[in-house]
Amino acid sequence: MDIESQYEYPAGVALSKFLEGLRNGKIIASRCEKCFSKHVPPRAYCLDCFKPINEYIEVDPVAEVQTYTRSRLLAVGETGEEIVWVFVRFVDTLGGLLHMLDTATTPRIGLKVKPVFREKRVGSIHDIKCFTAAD
Amino acid sequence: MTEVYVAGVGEIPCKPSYPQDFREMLFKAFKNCLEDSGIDVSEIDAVVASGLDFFEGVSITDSYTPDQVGGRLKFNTLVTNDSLNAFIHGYMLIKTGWFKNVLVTAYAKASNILNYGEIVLNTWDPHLIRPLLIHHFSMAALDAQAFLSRRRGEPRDLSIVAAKNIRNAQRNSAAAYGADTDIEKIESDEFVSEPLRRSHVARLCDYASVVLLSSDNRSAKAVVKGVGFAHGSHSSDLSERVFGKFAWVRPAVSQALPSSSRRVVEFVEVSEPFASTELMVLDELGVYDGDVLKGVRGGDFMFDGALPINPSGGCIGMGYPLNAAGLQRVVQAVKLLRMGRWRGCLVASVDGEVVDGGSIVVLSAG
Repeated sequence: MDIESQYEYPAGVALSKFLEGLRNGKIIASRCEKCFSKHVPPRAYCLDCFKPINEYIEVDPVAEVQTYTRSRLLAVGETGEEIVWVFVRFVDTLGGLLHMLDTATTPRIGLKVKPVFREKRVGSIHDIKCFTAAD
Repeated sequence: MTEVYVAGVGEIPCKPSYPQDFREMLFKAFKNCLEDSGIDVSEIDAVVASGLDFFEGVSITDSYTPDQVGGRLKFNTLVTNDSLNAFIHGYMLIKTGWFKNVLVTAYAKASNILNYGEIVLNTWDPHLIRPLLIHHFSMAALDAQAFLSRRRGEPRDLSIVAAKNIRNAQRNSAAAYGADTDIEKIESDEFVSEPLRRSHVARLCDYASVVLLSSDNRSAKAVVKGVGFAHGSHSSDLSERVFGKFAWVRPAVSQALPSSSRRVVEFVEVSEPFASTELMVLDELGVYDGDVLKGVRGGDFMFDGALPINPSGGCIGMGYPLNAAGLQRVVQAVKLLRMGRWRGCLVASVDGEVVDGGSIVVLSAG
């Protein structure tokens, strides 16, 4: 017998700002008023100062590839196409984002990339279609 | 201060699948442990079970553990995540002075799981990561790529690790996947997620093991010299992750073993769901004098090397029994110490396949 487990997760205050930003084609960070560090995705508290955060700002969408891999596997099975996964960190920010790189771009650590937004956006991580070379 | 001894160990061999259910598997491992320790079931004071409801597909898993291991009407508790945490919990219970004999149990019935990839996907943030449907091999590959880049390694280094462990497993009757393989054969495997090839990934297995910890040294098979646990730089949305580095290892090993005593470690057993895991843990442990990648290429971590790593075959050679991997390593370490070849060892286990957190235990011969 299968029992489906169904959940509904509220994104929370900080992540909602980020998802709202994606819907508007922007990358939103949180900024700590004490140490001025910026974090993507935004946090409701500073991970270093442990101060509550109330400031959310748009940041430069250019990011740097921290690591990458190529695979045809997904958690739900094999896909016919090769996917390039990248973990990127936006310039002058802490944190980072996992996403895909467009297959025309050769991945390497240190590569500068930018998000390619979909035309129709709904406030989800899929509002970013993929990342592509920034230059 | 109360010393803690391993009074006995029991296991059933790793296999791709067992027809028995998990209670029957645990019962066999328990009987083997009792026989090994020479202690009667009535002398057991408490049971610490390792379990993860998601892996078992059973809610409140620990409610089903005590019966088959002599735990009825006794102190029982479940410790989640890797079973080395349960081992440390049992160790601490004895240290309180309230318990004399504590049984630690772990099992894996991976063959029951029909959609393991999706179960692991549930590890991550439901808004930022899960919708991408990334496979956990790719998550580990991101780590492996960053590690090799940072340490100027080659994907071939991962094949050396995998070949070593698969070959070591041939000596181990509890191993499911031992074979007379070589580096070139592994290098010809397909990539599952670059730079990880098929043989760099430990295959899942069914397994059960039971360890009896005691404050009584009458039947000591090993002595627990130290324990440590640390959470690294991990967050479910991955944004805190320092890819290519296990931040948890240094604080954990500092708790378990003073740096002045690291010479006591004559071999290491480390759970390695991926070949890269072994290298990443070793790179931070501080028990090998020298560059880890030069060491792996030079054969220092082979069974007969300067510091054998996973002489049992590790998870790649034995099979990866999910959260039971930590206790699997303890049982192998005790078996190896009893060979009389080595006097001390370190056991390390990650807190999940792609988590920056884990535990360390130091053992010496009894």
